[in-house]
Amino acid sequence: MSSYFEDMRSDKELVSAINGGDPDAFEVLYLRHRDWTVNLAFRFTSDRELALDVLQETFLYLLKKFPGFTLRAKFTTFLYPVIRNLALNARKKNQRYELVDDKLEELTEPVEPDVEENLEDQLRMVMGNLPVQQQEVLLLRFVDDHSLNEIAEILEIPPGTVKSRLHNALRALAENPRTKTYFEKE
Amino acid sequence: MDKRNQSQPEQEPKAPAKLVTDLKDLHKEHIFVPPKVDQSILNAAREQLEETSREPAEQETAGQPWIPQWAPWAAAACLMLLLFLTLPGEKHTSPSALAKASVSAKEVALKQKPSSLATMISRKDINKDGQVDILDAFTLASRIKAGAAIEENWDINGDGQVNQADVEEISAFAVKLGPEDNS
Repeated sequence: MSSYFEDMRSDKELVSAINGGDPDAFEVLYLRHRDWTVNLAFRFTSDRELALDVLQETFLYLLKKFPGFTLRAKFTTFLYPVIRNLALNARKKNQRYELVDDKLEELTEPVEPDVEENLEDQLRMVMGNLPVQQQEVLLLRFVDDHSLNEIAEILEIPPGTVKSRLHNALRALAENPRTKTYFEKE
Repeated sequence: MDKRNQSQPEQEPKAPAKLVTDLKDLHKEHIFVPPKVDQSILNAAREQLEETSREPAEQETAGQPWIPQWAPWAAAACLMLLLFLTLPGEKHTSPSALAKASVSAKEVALKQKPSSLATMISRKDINKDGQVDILDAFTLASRIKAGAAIEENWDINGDGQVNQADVEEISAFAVKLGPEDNS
């Protein structure tokens, strides 16, 4: 594998080289964005295997665009909706198989967990059940530290919509028995 | 801009600090990508891109890197059209092509075959300026009207008389083959 971190070419220059049929340029581009891609995919899927599948599908999708691909925005801006759609589709397919298991799990688990060390797991579970749009703004705001205007730009929605989604997401967490502890202790 | 769509930082929803910390922790973990996944993607890329770069190279080897597949047919069509427009004696649909072809036929006939056509043309050259044009018709008409001397070979239509009909014959010929009709 080439030492991609030593390659000083910009993403646009790499794309141009790939259009010329340079597989080494593709490798550099892939290694440069691989971790970001798989982690973003994991956000939407909450599943390592699915995230890895999405990683592969994302770059195979990208590959199909060559030759003739023109990068008009930041590479991550281009990839974001691709990863998002692939991940949501993967999650939807996967949920068909896990739906029955989840229902059984919900029935057997206590409604109000009282074990502090499991709070993070509870949060993960509740986050996974939030509407995707709400998860997205929560993570973009509080994990990636983007401003509301930045999120609006990334998602191509009005800032007011970002704010309302964020508000609804936080309210859902506050009302959920599994995560309301966060708000009680505040 | 719509005020509802403008962000107002003072009203921005706030999350509890512990929640923010846990959210960050949830997504701090690094997903390990097995080497076989890397290899799978990179092999697919190498395969496709090498194929992509091979195709233009093969075309260059054939000496036709930019010529599309329909080019030979287009060239053949152009050649046929050129022949169609330049060959004498052919039928043409375009009026300008007709005029050009007629002149061309006249020139070819004059240069290559000093036959009846050349004789006919020289007979119509009433004013002897070397070309048949409307001035010849005008000259003949003037001479007939003035009762001036008339040459026998000015009987263009061969009816045994030199009169208005011969003037009209020359006029028609001049208009048909004259340089003014070359457009």
